[in-house]
Amino acid sequence: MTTPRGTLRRYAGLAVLLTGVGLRRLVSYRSDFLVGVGAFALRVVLHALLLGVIYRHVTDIAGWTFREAVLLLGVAMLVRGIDHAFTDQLWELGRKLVQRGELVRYLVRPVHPLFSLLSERFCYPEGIGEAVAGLAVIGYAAGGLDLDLDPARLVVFAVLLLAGALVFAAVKLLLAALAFWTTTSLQVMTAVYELADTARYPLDVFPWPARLLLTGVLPFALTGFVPADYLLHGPSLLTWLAPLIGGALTALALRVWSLGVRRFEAVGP
Amino acid sequence: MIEAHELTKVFRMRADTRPGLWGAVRGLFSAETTEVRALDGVSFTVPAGERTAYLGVNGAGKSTTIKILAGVLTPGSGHCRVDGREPRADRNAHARAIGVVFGHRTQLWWDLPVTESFRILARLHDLPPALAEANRLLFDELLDLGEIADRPVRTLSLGQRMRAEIAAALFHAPRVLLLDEPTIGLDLLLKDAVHELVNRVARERGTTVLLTSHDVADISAICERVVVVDAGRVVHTGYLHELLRRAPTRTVRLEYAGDVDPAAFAHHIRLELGDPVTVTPAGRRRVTVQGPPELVTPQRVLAAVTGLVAVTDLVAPEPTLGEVLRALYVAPQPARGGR
Amino acid sequence: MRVLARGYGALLGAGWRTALTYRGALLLTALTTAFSLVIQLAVWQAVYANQREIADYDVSTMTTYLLAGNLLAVLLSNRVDDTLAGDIYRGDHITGMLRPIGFLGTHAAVALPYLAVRLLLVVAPLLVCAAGAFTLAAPGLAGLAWFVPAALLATTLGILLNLLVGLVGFVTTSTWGVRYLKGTVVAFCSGQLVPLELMPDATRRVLECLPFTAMVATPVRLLIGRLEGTAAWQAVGVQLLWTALGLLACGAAWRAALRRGEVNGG
Repeated sequence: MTTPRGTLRRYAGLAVLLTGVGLRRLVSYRSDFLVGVGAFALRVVLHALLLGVIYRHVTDIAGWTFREAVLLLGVAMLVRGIDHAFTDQLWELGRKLVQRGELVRYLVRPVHPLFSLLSERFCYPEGIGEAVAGLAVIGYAAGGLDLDLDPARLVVFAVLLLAGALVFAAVKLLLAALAFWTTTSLQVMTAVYELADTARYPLDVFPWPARLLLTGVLPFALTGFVPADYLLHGPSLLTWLAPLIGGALTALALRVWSLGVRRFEAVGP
Repeated sequence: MIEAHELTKVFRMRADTRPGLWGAVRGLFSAETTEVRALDGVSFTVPAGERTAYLGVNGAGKSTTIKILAGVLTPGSGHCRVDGREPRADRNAHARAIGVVFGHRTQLWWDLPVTESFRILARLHDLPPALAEANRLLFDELLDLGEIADRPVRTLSLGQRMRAEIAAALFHAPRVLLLDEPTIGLDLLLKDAVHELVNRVARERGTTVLLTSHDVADISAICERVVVVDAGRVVHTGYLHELLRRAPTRTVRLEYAGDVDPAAFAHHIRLELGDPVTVTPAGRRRVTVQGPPELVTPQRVLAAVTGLVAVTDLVAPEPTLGEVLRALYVAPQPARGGR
Repeated sequence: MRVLARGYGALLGAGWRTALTYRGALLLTALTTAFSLVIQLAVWQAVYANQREIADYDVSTMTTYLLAGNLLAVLLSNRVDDTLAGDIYRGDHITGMLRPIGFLGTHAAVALPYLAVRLLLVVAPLLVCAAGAFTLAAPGLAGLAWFVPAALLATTLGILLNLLVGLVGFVTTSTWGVRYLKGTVVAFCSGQLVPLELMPDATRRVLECLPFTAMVATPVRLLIGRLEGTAAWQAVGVQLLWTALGLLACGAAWRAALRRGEVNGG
């Protein structure tokens, strides 16, 4: 029971169980779910249209053609979808779990509190839908581009996607954990999420402080630009740094989460 | 089973913003805090298998203590052990050992039916399938789940939900059950149902129970021992029946036949019994005698009136817990922010 | 009437204090809004690298447009949808109905101090910073005179729209999806991200009739002098029309919700 393998098996089993529970819960809220999926689909369409509107007047932005920009959009959606499918419950942490003291629920269960928290929305279909839509957009864009897709390249691309998803999850966890100090951080989360949206543009267009911010501080460049740039233009320094940044940020976020829980337990739920 | 030793807890709260617009603007820049001493050296023990009530007025530190014992709040100083373990030493082991209900804060899966919550709890706690099934049947019967089994928890009435909460806290057969205000907001019948649920399961399993409440009915229905806190300190511990004996006043009601002047009669009894005793004529041929327990006993009252009237009825009711507690809360009770 | 005024006054005070409680979050909102602006402007700088004008917008006019649009959008977020839907989810609208003043009015009133705090602590500082950092096309007096009432109507529309979205809580258990949908539609259809003039004519004509352009594009176009004379009156007329329709829709939705509540036994 206490061997690492036993623990792993136990958590995997619980994850499967709770995913099933989450799906069944969605069935009872079908209308909510459909609205959510519709909203995401619409967002994709509108984003593509926005690109279309701008490219009506120019042929390239900082050297990126319309197809390339659409590919970037698709990659960003895919990464975001992967994250969305597993960490959506963090929004609740930022929104109200600390403020209303409801977090105690996760502290009196015999599993890791963060797992317990995330498990309420595992394999969230909205996220999976977003990832699938992202793949479709990538497919559309790739159709008009001459991409070199050998297996090694695809493996690196997959690693970059994973690193991007980690970055997304870590930033979300960091911001949600702010709520431990500010009681709620939903507005920050929403604001930064909007910011992640606008960071779907080629990194080359930004002034250097923004570039630094998007790679070093809130590395949203890793969630879209870096994988897409690799696919289009081959490896760069950021390609190799991305997994490191993703890992470091995740470690930091986990540390802040546990500090936050400790604070929550000190000031009282 | 539960040991608390010199627990203290001080909360720092942001001072209330001053009234008015200017006060609100100043609130923008100030960071004044006030200290609230919720626990001021609380020590007590609860032996295994005993059901103990943790009593006190609002803000006396009851919930704070329960949260510390549940491991979701760290004490400022002092320490405690539950089931032989510091609550925060091993969260998982502690979570398996205790079941806890925090008043109105739900621990069920809000959007799922109760049965589904039970299924998840069984898996979270790795209950053997046989035990899980037995528990499911037990609570199915106790909660009368038949009609509500498939309804999401959030659509249940408060009474149904509260019982479901307690059942969920008991589902993994914990050795210790912590209940924080389990009957708050419930009517008499629903309170009885909660009492029955706790008594049935806890008594059968020998679960150690610590229950906070300011409702006397909860205590006398469930617990045999009491710990009384006031202003963050324990002011009394002991068995319930002993506590009742510590009542500061005793009452004897007397009915008699015969014609005497009620005022003179009352005066006579007062003289016979001694000074702090009060005697009030209560309706036709009836008096109520009240005073310290050593002065006001049925025997002494009877002796005092013998020869004057013929006694037709003599009642010496048990003191209520409420009366006893009121006397125990020695300190004046300022408004304290309970958390 | 006086009782009513005092009731709303108390609510305003409470709302102001609540809004201030989250001042840390407010500061971060300001920072992220600023950053989002920088990103958008950078993208447009790159777009303008190869040409001087797009659809009669030169760089400084475009910058002014996006700045005004994004700052106005800060005032479109008023939390009304969130608090209203939350109340409905918990069933607190029952107690809300017992207060002597209208339930929807209560929620709308809470938005005012919230918006005031945002205006004071987010919009104003950002405006000052942006004026220092970018070359802007200085708006004329006429533009400013048109902008103020149009912006007020726009924020009113923002409140009304959020009330409607919050009322969806009577139909669905979580309003998150609807709110996200609303956010998306407003961001893209209001002209906050790209001026209407850049869009194909057919799209532009459709969008101009929808309430969303009345929330950002109309005031901003008035500000930079893109709408003048009849066109200006027409645009504000559309705003007024949508405000009236929004009020009616909120009232109707609330009454429908109450009837539904009675059928379900509250």
